[in-house]
Amino acid sequence: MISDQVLHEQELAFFGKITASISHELNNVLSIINEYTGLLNDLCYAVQNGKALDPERIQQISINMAEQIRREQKLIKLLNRFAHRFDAPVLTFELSELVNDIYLVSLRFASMKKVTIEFPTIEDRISITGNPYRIQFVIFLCMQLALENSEINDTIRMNLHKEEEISTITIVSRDKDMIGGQEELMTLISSLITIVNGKIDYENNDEQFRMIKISLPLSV
Amino acid sequence: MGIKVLLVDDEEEFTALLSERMITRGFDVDVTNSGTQALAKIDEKVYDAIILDLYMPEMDGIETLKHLLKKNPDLQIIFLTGHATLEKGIEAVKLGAREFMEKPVDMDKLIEKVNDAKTKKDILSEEKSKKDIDDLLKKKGW
Repeated sequence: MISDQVLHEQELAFFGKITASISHELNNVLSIINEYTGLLNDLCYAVQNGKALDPERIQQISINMAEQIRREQKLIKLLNRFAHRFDAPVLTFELSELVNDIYLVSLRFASMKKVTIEFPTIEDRISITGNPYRIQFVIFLCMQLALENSEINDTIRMNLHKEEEISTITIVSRDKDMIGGQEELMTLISSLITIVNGKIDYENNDEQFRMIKISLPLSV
Repeated sequence: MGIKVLLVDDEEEFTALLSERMITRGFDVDVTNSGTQALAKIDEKVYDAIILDLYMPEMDGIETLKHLLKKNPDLQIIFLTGHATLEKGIEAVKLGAREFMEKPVDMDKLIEKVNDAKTKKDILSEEKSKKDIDDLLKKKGW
């Protein structure tokens, strides 16, 4: 079990990592919008200098800008949900939304390694009472573990189920048998799982692949 | 023929827009979406400036910079990134990048820096040619 100080430091690092990642994405979208506004300016200048106006082009630019603004709104909502999970140590919240958010924030880290993550749309709402911040942290860490074991062009498969009073998150990825190299990460995961009254299993049904199975009670 | 620029960024919509706006301004712009593609491109063509993103999949901007400069130490590379931290900027310049600029881009400033890069490249080319001639003359004993 890790010390409170180490846990606290790791939690702060997690907070910083996710907010930095999302803010980077937000800035990418602003850069694209900036280029569109510049392009509109360039087209106006061209018209002022005798070139014909292409209304279809202007319309398409407008549609594309609106799409980027929607993208920006989704990112801001994601950041907002992530931040609000720190509001209280015990909350009743939607686990399906939390797991989907971890999937979304993990996508960027995965794309840097050219790894794909699959997570199906969960229709059922799964309500859970617990520590949302630590639950999102432990799921994220399990995803990081899966990413560390993945190679370029691999696919990580994540899923969420509910059975009676237990919800289960599964993450299937390559198993590179990196025990020793990942001891620190696995110790942190193990400590967090204990704190949130959950259970973690590592199942090797297949030589090449491993399933990380996180079981969480629906109420503390 | 305009100043030859290679734009390297994985965000395709961004590169399409930036390249269009630069082409309108008379630049000859090629686009790649990865460091690996950029390394292949410089074998095909000589560029006056390379505009390089910091965070890209597989091979990030710093790694790409190192590989590019290993192939040609005289390359004029401008880092363009939305993740600007002073440390990354210093690291890039220490490794041989010419400039470090933040996104969103100020087009006028970018153009100025690309023009400066072209001037520097031309000076280096001239110096190299002069040195080659001097070496040849020495070899001939003239």
